[in-house]
Amino acid sequence: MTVTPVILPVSSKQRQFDALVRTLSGDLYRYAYWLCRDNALAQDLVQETFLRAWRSIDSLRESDAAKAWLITILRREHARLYERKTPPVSDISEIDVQDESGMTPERAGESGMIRAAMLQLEPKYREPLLMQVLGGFSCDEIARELNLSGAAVMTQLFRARQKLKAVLLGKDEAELYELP
Amino acid sequence: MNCLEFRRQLAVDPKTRDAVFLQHKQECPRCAEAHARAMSFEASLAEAIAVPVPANLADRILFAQATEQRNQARMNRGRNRGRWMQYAAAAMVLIALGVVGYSRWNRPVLADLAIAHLAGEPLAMTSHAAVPDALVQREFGMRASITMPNVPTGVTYLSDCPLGPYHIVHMAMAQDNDPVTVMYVADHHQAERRDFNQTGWFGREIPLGAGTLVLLGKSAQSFDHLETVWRDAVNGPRLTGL
Ligand SMILES: [Zn+2]
Ligand SMILES: [Zn+2]
Repeated sequence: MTVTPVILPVSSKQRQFDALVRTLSGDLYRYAYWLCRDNALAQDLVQETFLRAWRSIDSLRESDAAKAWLITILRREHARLYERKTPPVSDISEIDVQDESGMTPERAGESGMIRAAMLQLEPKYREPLLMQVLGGFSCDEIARELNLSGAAVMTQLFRARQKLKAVLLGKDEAELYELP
Repeated sequence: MNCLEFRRQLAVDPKTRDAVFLQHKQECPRCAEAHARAMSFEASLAEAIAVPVPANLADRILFAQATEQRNQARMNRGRNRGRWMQYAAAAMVLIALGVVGYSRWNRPVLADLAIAHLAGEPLAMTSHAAVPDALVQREFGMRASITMPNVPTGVTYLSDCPLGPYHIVHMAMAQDNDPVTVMYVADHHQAERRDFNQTGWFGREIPLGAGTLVLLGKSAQSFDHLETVWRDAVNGPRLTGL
């Protein structure tokens, strides 16, 4: 009656994978969340991304590049699976329940405002910003990944920040403070 | 670099480590001020982007990968093929139903794992023969270093199984016509006792000894009784009147 489990030796490959999941799944989830703006879809997307990553983990040479590599896989998976399922912006308010504990009220207020503004941001502005802030991509890397010119990426990064600052500071002030 | 070039760079990539950029910041107080404001905004932005990550996300992913690995290994070996095909099929159904693949914020992960595991082991619920106490004692001794002088009566199934990242003693107990699955998770201590009810299953998670006892059934009728007998079996009977 007793079924003895198969004990597989823990390979160095498995250890590497475990470490990737433990250290990077949080940021990958955040990236996925802002991409599809839905918690359940985001979790599914991250899981699918890591399963794909596992199947091709031999192609990952340096662990420094792991985050960018995973984000690239995640973006492809998102395009393949979920682009059409992304909820319209109007559905989001109910899902967007956030834990603000540990922040000063001022910070929590700012974060809330920026989050609301992020949800409204067009994807063409949101994605380069996520790649830069969450993924640590350089402008050149973003350009390569999105198939855009470097100048176009810089414009989008500039505008993305302008739009978010406008929410915090009021539009005119935001414009003033960037351009001397 | 002049001020205009600095401000452009600042608006596009404020965290750049570019040497010329950093040098201008050193030399120009007004741009240094603008840089400080930009850093404060970047801090707010980073905080806003860092939405809370669901608890157990990493465990879920590792569980999914381990399941895939294990299925692969079993298939390759061609052993127990029928059983594992059945398991894989059941797992697919559960994934399609969203039980395993992902779930809502606060659904307890042990519950997901236990329900999914049960689907892969249909024999567990149909066996009626009593399992000898000695076998139960041996499993608890080996898996959880628990000495159990008095084994609860009515154990009809016994197996030691992997459960996601954990290891369990998997049992079934006949309770009238309503068998209850009893899993002792030897290497995971749940902080809180709690009841759950999902996808047609009633369940209870009970911190017990160094591990967690999970009860799972089509009704919760006998849970209180089973909780008492398993607490007594693991901890020794409570002394009344003290
Ligand atoms: Zn200057
Ligand atoms: Zn089992």
